[in-house]
Order: sequence, then C-alpha cells, then structure tokens
Amino acid sequence: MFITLGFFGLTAQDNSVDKTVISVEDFQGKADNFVGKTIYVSGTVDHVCKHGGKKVVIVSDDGEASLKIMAGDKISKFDKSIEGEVIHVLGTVKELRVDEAYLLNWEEEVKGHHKAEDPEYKEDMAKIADLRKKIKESDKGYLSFFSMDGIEYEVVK
Amino acid sequence: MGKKKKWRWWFRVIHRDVGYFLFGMTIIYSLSGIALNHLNDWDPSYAKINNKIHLDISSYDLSKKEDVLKIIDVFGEQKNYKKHIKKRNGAVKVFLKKGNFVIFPSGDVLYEKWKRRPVFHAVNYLHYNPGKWWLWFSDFFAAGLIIIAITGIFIVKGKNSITGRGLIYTILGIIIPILFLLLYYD
Repeated sequence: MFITLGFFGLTAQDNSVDKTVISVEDFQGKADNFVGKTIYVSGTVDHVCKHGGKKVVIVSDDGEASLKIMAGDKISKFDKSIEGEVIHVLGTVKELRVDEAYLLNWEEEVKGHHKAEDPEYKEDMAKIADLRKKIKESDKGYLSFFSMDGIEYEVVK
Repeated sequence: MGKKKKWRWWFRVIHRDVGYFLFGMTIIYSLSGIALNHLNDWDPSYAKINNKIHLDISSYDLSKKEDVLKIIDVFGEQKNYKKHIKKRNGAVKVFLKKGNFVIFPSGDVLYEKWKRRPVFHAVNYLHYNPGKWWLWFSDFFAAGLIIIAITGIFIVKGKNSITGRGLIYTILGIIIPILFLLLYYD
C-alpha cells in the first residue's frame, strides 16, 4: 500500500525525499532497494523499548512484516502510549549484513567475555549456530537485517 | 572593600543566585538521572502490572474481531480497545489505551496494564529534551552548573578554603572518575 503524504504535516527538510509512504509489508519485500535511502514507512507500533524509548518496532497487521526504528537526533524519545497506533516515519534505511566473518568475530567476543559453562555463553552460541545454519540455507551467503534511523514521525489518527 | 574581597563577593552572589535559579532544574535532572541509571531494573516512566491466565477460548475464533472483543470483555477492557494485530506464532496482540493482551491459541493470555508514574514520567520527558527551546534551556542549565562549581570552590576563605580542606575534597572528587577511567576505559 502506498500513500502520498501531503496533509500529515511531516516536514522532510530535503526536498528530494520521496513523500510516498510505504507500508511495512511492502517495505519488507523490497528492503534491498531502500538501503541508504531516506523514505517514509508506515506500520502499527508493536513495541516501544523501555530503555529510554529510543527504539520502536512497527509491524503489519498480519504480523508477517516488521521493522525496527531507532530514534535519531530529532526524536527525543518514543513514548509507550503510541503502542497500537499507526505511525508514519521518515528515516534512513540501514542494513546489517551477517556473514561468516561476522559470526566468527561474535564467537571470539563471547569466548573472551564468558566461560563455556555460563548461561550467556550457551545462549549466544546457540544464536550463532542458528544464524550459521540460516546463512548456509540462504542464496546470498549472508543474512540481511534492516532497520531505520528515524528522523521524524507522526501518529496517524 | 579591597580588590580581592570584591571578586569573592561577586562569586558568592553569582553562586547563590544561580543556585537558586537552577534549583528546580537540578532536582529534575538528578531525579531523572537516578531513574535512568537503573533502566535495567525498572521502567521509570510507567508502572506496570503483568498477569498470565488461562481461558477456555475454544468457542472463539481469533481471526474475528468480535470474538477478540468478547475475550477482552471478560476483563472489562472492551472500552479501552485500540486495535489488534496477528503475531507470527498464531497469537493475537490486542492494544488497549493503557495496556495490552497477547492471546495465544492455547487459551493462555498475557495481560499487561500500565500507568504513568506521576513525577518520574514528567522528569524523564524533560530529560530527553522534548523540544528546541528546552534544549537551549538545558544547555544553559549545564553551563550554570559549571559556573556554580567554579564559583563554589572560591567563596570560602581560611582553613576550609580551596587551599586547605577544600583542596583535599576537590582532588578526591576528581580522582574517583579518573580511577574509573584508568580501570575501565579502553
């Protein structure tokens, strides 16, 4: 679903920003195309991080698509009261690529910080093993995790 | 009034009056600072109640809004309904005005209610610089603290001054953060 902004009051400073609002489900299917770009995305706020309200997760109504949004300099914090609301967010899309080198580095860090019998060690190693399995199953040889650095947002009533 | 006496008098006046003016801000930032230091232990902005119960929902269809509303009405929460979404595990998450339900197909229901903490929600809101004007005011506050600190160490004369007992405390207060830096800073 694409909506063109015009009456929501969001004020992108850069006139080159495309004001089309992309739903989070549409974003998920084409996320590769948006990396590094500043775009508008909409979705329902599923969760606001209690650690300072600096992170929010928006989802599609069918629960299949989600996107993590970090509060940028212009967003002081996300308040918990927006959970369950639909928001339009302007932000820059980022990609975290998790490949074998990333996992090896993570493994070294876990070994350096925890003993093999620590619960954290076992938990992290299980996560690493799971990601390694997914990488092997993927065509690209790495996994992509997308997020957004939020510039501004508005609750849609 | 000699020359030396004059600057000390001004320092005392500045320290006193700036201190009065920034009293409120000092309390706001101190309270929110303590609150935010312990984010891992609590949510300083909201008080929460979490419950888990089991309901027989075999006669309800979670894909129908009217059935979801009937389930939350068991708790008298239909009036607070905002919307609901599906979760990947087959559960349904229902957002309320001040809370949420997660209803699993098994009948397990997680129920969270929250309310704003009266003082901490407000001071935390201010701590996170809610607007441009507040940003400038909080910068002014920070500069004011530097002024209070500098004037404060020079307003007392005698054995408790910055050349006596005051010097020991001042050095101790500087050594503690330096020690932390030496021990933990990469």
